[in-house]
Amino acid sequence: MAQLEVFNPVAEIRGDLKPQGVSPRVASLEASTLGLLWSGTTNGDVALRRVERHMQERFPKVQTKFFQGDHPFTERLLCEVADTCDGVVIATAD
Amino acid sequence: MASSSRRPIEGPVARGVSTAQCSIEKLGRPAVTIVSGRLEGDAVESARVFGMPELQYVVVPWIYRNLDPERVVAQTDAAMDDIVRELTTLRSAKNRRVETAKRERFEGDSQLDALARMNEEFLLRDWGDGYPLLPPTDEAVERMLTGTCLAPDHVLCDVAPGWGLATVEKVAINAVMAGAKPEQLPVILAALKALAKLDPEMARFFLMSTGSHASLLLVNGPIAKEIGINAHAAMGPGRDNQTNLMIGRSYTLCLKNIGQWYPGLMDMDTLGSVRKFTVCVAENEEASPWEPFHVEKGFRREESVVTLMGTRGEIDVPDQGNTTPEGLLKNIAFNCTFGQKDLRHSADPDIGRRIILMVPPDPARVIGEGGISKVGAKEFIHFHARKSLLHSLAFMPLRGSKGDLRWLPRQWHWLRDLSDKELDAIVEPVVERADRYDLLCVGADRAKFQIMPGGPFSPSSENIDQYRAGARQ
Repeated sequence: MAQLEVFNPVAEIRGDLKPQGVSPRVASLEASTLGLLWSGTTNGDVALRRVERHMQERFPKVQTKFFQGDHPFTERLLCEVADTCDGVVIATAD
Repeated sequence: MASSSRRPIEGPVARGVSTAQCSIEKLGRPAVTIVSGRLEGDAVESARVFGMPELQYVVVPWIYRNLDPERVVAQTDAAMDDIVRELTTLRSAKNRRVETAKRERFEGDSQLDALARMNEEFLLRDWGDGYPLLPPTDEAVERMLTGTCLAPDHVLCDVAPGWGLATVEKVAINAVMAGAKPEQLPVILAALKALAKLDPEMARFFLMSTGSHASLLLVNGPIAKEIGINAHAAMGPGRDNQTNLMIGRSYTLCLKNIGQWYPGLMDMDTLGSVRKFTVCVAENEEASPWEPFHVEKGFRREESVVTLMGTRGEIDVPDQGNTTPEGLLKNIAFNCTFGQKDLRHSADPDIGRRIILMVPPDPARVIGEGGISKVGAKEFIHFHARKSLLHSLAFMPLRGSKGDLRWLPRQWHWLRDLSDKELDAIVEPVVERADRYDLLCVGADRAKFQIMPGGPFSPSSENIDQYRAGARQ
């Protein structure tokens, strides 16, 4: 029986060095502020407006804020979204 | 209501559209992205790459861009329960860490049989390019490492799009698998460094786009002749292009196995392209009437330099009977008018559509002997390569169903009320400026040109000499 020992060509990735968990979820969407973030790509806005309508029907006290950023989103916009909303729905149309 | 305590985004920063969710999560807010099914692999890999493997998202069946309004509404309605759940409920954690065990063992009735099993397994894991791979044994990798002055554990750079850590040893392993030789390793290392010099968001966009963006490696300086990089019919198969092909293949395998550039995961091509095997060419500096490309970019002529360019296709352009610089350049200019205009990035000096012009020695000589400098040739082509905005926009609608301007940047809003006839009457250059043409002397002695739609980034160059065996670090 012949044997062949070779190196593995796959590298470690930086994201695996220090993985983070996601943020705590929104306890209740009722009376929360929900961000809707659109990348500017066709139909993403239509989808987010539909999400907005459903949320307002399900949670009458929910407030929504619509954000549009050019590709790519700036850190400033992302900070604004995080600072002013309790949860965020993102549509890139992809 | 959310608080306004702002803190910097920690760890690898996700700045792109598909990965903005990571940044928001890192800022402490729960987020959910609506992802089409075909892009789910991208979502999973992007999350892991940015250090947040448990990212929560919702999958819908279709990409939204070309759906009619009824389908947009229908698939969004169907996703609403999932959106609410992902915003309010933590999913159970899953381990998605990449397996990078140092060695793999294969057995067979003979060495050839064991090698066949290695190939079968590696290709199944998508660690190759589809062609048979050479075995990266201890001995082969050690021999490859003699081609550079760098230590095996030296981390050269992070490789996009997955930000894999490119140790010199990992680069050497992939180069061995590609069939490269030790003297080619410094070119491969420099090419990866040239990629690492790009803006991170641009590098990810370039490699992960659903368009067929591909890398082109141009080598200038003495090393091209020393190691046999072809500057003539440099892009085809065969004996004369062995070095070109091995360097290009090594670079491709590094993108895959170090940068996680796997099709369907972080290479989201719609159709793909053979250019993704990576074209590597040398400039024919001796036959060129102009200064070499690397000198144009500020390097010394005696330096060896690799330049990374982006390509989006290729057009073969014949010429019959033109004997004047003007005729030849007009032919090139006309053939540059193929394709769409990039309105989205037209204001950015470093982003947007470029055009790579490969001019073989024969026609280059006629143009040069006519007293036309490289800058002059580019300006002439830029002046003549024009077409109407109607055709440049490729008949894409500027307005959405509700009259919104959709993707059109502000500086182009003046187009919004023009009719097709009016758009057709406005004739514009196909790229923004003359310096968005990259003019290279490459090719055999014939009157053919090759034009490659390029971009979206400006060429990125890196000195090769610093990585060669014997160079001082």
